[in-house]
Amino acid sequence: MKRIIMLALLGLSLASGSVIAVDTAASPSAAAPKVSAVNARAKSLDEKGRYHAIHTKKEKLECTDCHGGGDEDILFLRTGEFQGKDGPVSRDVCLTCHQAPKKPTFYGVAK
Amino acid sequence: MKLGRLIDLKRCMGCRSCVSACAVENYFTPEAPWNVMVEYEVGIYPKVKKVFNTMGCMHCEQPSCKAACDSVGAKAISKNAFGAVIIDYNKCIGCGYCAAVCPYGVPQLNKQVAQLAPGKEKLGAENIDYADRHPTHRKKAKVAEKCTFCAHKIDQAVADGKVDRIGKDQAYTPSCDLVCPTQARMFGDIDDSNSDISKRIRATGAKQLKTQFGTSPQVYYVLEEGAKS
Repeated sequence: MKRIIMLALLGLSLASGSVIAVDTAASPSAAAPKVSAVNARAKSLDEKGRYHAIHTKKEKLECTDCHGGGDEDILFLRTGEFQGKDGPVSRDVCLTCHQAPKKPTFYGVAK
Repeated sequence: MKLGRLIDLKRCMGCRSCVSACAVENYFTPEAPWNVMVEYEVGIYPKVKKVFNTMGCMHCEQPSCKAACDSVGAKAISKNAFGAVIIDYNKCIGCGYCAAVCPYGVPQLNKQVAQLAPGKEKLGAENIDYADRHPTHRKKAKVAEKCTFCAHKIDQAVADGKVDRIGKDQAYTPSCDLVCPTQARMFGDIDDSNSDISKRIRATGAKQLKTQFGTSPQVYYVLEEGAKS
């Protein structure tokens, strides 16, 4: 009986392992659509999260396209922001793609 | 009614009373401040000046944090009836997108809920039981938080039927605006052109910061000569 339970557990763990392997195997070169690969990621700012995936994998941006220059922005409340290996992001860079009417829109028309 | 704030940098002497008052009132932790004092120098020697620029949430009319939050489907950020931008801790998924897009660096992703003064007596709202606190004070770890325009006081004004006393009575005015020893801060209805704050904004030519982002902040600054905007 113990043997059967052990075998069942082993089988389950192998099965779940293969599912994880399929998820993590998603890459830009995979046959699945890029958007699906991006959506599968966690919504977080971590380097491996969805936020970075959209900008690097989908939009093909280099790290330095966004990072750098943020430390020169004095009028920024979160002064202890994580610097990142390429320096903090200047939000002015975000305006290039996220200011109305471009979508997704995070910023209104400059006044 | 649209609430707003005026901060006069020509009067501010950088004492940080507003920062302390906010910390005690809202027990923000040093790792996740709701109000900070930024300071820098302007001018050319020997004519130099120090600028003290206190910053909190700008409670933008078109908040980029809300747009980002909506874009991920969390919809944890909303504008209340008074124009204050409020985060619902129960809906926040802690993704940090609001923090990533805010041009002012306002939303704070709090890693842990810590006591303001560890090992010492509890301060302000820390003494209130969790369930009895205002929703903006029922803090949680790994969610975003920020200045609320002291929403607990504004809600109290509504409950007491004294909305007209917001910005006038101590009980209905954000603590940071109450404690300023140089009267560099003012809070009130910026929709009413006859309100004290509207008059002072007009008289001083106060400006919003970082208008290139088009978020229409509801916090105005009287800028020192040469100050950054």
